[in-house]
Amino acid sequence: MSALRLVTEEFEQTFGLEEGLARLERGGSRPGLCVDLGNGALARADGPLGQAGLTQRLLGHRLLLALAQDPVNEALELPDRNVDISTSIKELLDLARPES
Amino acid sequence: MPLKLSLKPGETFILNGAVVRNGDRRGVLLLENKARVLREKDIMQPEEANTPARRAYFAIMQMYLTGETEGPAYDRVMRALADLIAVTPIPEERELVTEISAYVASSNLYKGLSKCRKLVQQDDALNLEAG
Repeated sequence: MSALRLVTEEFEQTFGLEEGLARLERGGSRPGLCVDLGNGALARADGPLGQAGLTQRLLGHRLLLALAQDPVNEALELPDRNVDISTSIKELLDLARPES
Repeated sequence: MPLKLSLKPGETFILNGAVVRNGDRRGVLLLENKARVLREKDIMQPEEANTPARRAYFAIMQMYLTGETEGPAYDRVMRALADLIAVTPIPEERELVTEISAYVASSNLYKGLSKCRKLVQQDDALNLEAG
């Protein structure tokens, strides 16, 4: 573990989803914010988008939790979506096809 | 502790964005540090992403392969997970989808992908039973 990581963890404060989001939305939250999503899943602003990226991920997860509370509509038919695939991944996957 | 990969002849895996193919003999590789590895059996091709569970796996797999954890790649995963939960009536499976979402939201894509693989296996078995 790097010294930088040790220093960050020393100042880290862990919150639940709602409190974490409230702190991010109020702005001015300190870099040591950690959000516990359960099952050992800890979200931090450690991506390239920083706190904006963490906010995006937490809002997405909150939306999914809300959807999980909705009753299932058995008659629902999803549109037949094509998979969205980037050119670089397509090239990678083509190369990774098993040899015939 | 290093990750040990035992490879069959001709087996392919993806390591940090590079496609690596084993030669014509069995082989063993030791990865001494943390890396993004996906073995051949876990690689899904786009044409195999033909159910909501498989589309979710494919979206997370793309994120894992590129190492992206947020931005448009994250939105793609969330769209796929939202579609999946909308058609998942079994409470245990819905719970699993929210768990996958938590791992993706915490940038633990390897764990998210592993959980999603389990869901795909369950879903495939159910679809097979249903004919």
